[in-house]
Amino acid sequence: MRNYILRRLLILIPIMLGVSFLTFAMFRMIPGDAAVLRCQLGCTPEVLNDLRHEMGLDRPWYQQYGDWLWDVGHGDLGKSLTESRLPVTTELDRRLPITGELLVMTMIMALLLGIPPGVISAIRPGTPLDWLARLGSVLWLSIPSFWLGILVIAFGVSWFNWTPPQFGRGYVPFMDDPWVNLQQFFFPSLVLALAIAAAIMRLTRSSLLEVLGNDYIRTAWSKGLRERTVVMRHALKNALIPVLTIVGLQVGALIGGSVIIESVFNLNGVGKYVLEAILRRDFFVVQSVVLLFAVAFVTANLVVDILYGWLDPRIRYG
Amino acid sequence: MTFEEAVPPRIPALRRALQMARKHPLGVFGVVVVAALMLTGIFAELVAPYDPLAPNRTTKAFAELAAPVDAQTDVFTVKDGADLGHGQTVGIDSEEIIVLIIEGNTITVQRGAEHTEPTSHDAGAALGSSTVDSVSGPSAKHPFGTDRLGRDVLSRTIFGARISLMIGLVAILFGVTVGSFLGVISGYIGGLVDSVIQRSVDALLAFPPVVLLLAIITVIGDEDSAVRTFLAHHTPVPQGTFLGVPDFLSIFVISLAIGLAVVASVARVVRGAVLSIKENVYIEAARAMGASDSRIMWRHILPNVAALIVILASITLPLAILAEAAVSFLGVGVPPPVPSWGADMTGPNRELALSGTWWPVFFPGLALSLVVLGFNMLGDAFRDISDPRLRGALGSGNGRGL
Repeated sequence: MRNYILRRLLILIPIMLGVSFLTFAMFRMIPGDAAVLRCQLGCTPEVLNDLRHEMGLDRPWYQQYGDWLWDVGHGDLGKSLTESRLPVTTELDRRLPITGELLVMTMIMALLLGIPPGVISAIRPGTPLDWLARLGSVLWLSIPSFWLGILVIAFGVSWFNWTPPQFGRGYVPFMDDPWVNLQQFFFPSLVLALAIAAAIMRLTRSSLLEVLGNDYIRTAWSKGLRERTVVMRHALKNALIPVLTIVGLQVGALIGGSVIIESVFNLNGVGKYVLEAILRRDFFVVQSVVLLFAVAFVTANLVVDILYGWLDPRIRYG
Repeated sequence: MTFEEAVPPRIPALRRALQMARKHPLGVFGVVVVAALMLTGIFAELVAPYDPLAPNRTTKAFAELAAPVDAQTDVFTVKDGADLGHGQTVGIDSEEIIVLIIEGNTITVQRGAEHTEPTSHDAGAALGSSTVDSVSGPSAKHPFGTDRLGRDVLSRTIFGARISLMIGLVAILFGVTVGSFLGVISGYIGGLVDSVIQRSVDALLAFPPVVLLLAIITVIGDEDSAVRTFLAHHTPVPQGTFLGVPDFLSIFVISLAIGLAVVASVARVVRGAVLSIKENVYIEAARAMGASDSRIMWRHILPNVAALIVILASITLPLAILAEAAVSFLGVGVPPPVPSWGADMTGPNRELALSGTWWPVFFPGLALSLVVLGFNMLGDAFRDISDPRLRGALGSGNGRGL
């Protein structure tokens, strides 16, 4: 087990190097760098060169990449190339709690909205409830989150005269005012959670149906156990193992979704940060944040794989 | 269970199709929606009641008073030929200050004025303060309403189908072709080639998809990016309006970017299939007969992964359509004024929506959701049908599928 984790962590290194190099290379291919974007009208070539020098963009690419890599290895994620020159770590300090809360709340909602309907649909196949759950899941999978997000805000305003409090007020930490904080995150999380809930629901349903056909379930029934016990104690535990994989895989979709939903709901999280950085050609910010995303994604899958073995002792790590 | 019981007998194709349709009403819904998307996309000019780009300036209070002389100019005639006298008044038209010059029974709208003094005039009161504000709600004339510039939302939604379809098809054609090519090579040749391709795929798949797509678009979508310049000067890709789509080159470049983003996953899946196919005896036989590697790859292996490739394409097509809408929504996709579902949900339309004017955002999004829904239902039904173990037990509601 320990060897397995170690090996997986070792594989992480080349993948991360690949990710960082790809981002680095891609952004060097763009004509016009951050210096050009910062240089306003009437900017002479000399000023431009000075700016480039100041930002370190005039050095050879391998030096730029090497230096950045060295710094990241030492916990320094570089500085923004915009006027503010804010270190990436300072920004992340401010923004990570926002994105973190969004992702955690989304996951909780997705599980709450996904597993119960999946179970009901599996133990009562063919009933109107089953149809309703399945229809819901196809619907949630198909509705784009950004559209739903805008509609929530638009109809919130025109019908209830309610806007999510982050418009005009900024982020309020949970500790300062839990009620306002939950209002800020409820709808973004809900909108983001629907598609994931749909995937979880479908998998719970098919996986539970399969488990319910097993011999040991028939044994449980014939012992005269109540349906509740058979489903909850005997079947569901085993049925949820594959669901775990989907949860891990959805982390990537979730991070991508946060980029969009943070911009819709005006949450100043990491997603909005990277979107703005991409538009401003802010190389170092993009590089570091994308690396962070990739680490989060790959780690989530590693954790899922380890949990897998813990939940299902039949799985051996080779 | 005998063989006959396990595998039900084959039924004539047409009857089977009808049977399937009865057992998969949702699949039929999917077929109808996808067919509708294709037809509207192809025949947009015939279906759309208005030009999606032409502003229509006769709405609200103003429409009750005056009608435009023709669609292109800002000259209006007062209905019933009433004489309003002479004078001018100031109005606001989509955040732009305009001056209305009234001469008898004609009203001329002057745009781009910096500051103007309204002269007192009776007609000014009749016209109201939001005089030619072009947004209007759904009505008989404009079933989906009009947007900030007075453009018909229905027509824009219809033309949006064409853009979605175009980008989706080009992206999938490109992405699936390149991905399959890399997958076949990687799986068949193996060794160093395989390692290099697979490690790159690993790195690409570690990106969150939206972020990867944004990065690719920033790189190749730039005004003077190498890809764009190359396409403009060395390939026959048209630069201006093509097939009724303005700025075709930009749209083509975005399709390529979306296609690139799916290359990695296609290559991964195809490689897996090739690895198992290449162990078959007929491949060995082909090699024994002296077939070259390239002949084996493209004549023997490729036809055997063709079905898989088609399935991959059908799964990724709605994803590509969604991706186009998402990047256009984030403001890096289809440039204005091209009617795109994603682009129409952002910018000024989004600000309008936040203040309660929902229709310019609602209808393009509804169309997008419907199309993705149609594709998903089609895919579900297809998966049910193509699983031969389920043939005969179709639609019983049990197990698999959805």
